[in-house]
Amino acid sequence: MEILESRTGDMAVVHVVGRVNSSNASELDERLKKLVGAGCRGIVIDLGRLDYMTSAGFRCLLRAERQVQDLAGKLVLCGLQGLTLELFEVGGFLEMFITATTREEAVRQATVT
Amino acid sequence: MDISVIEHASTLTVVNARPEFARAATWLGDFAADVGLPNDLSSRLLVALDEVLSNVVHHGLAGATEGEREIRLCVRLGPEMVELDVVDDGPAFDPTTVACATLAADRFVGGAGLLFVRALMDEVRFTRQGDRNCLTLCKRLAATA
Repeated sequence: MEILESRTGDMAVVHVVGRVNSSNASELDERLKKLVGAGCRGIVIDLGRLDYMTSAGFRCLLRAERQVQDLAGKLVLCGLQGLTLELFEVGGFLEMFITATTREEAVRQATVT
Repeated sequence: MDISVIEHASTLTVVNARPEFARAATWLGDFAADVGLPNDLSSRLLVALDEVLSNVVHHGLAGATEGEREIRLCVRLGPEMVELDVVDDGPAFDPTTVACATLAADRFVGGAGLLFVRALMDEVRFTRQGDRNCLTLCKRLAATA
């Protein structure tokens, strides 16, 4: 797993590449927690180059989503594809997150005015 | 002799400790690459293994001293299927009998893992062998959808 991150003001775009599983999910958890702790109210997570995410990764996303909501912010996912998208569907996770088809749209949706 | 029925197989024994998840994933990934499984099929097996190992370590063997219990893994490639056994000595637990509705309601605390396993595999079989749970995950080679 590789986590690429860019920040502009209180907006963060996090690009998660590779595989998220039980072994590395805590790393993603920490990175997202830090962003929320640093006051990011808009977080976009781009999963366009993710091979897959096991339930350990989904737990991180759900936790981050709740933390961002506590700050009255927004977490938006984009780039869902392949096996990642299938797992979102199987687990019923699409209803639990705001999703966008492109990163630009996700940034627009995550912008808190 | 019919060459098509010759099986490739590999076994690995891990213990109930977090770093073992990565070792198990590397083992399964290497096997998949060695026998030429498509990436999509390999990914499905890796997700299923991660979920089953998590359940065994965090639920079945919860309370056990870390590193002291063994979990045996065996992967076999047949002409039509790839099968993966996960054998643990925790209390009897048959995940194939857990109701899906319960899993869906419980997904925040880990139920999603079993939903994933069922959806990604073509067949999931459970047998209790003496004092061990044996879960066999089966995936057909032809269609990965």
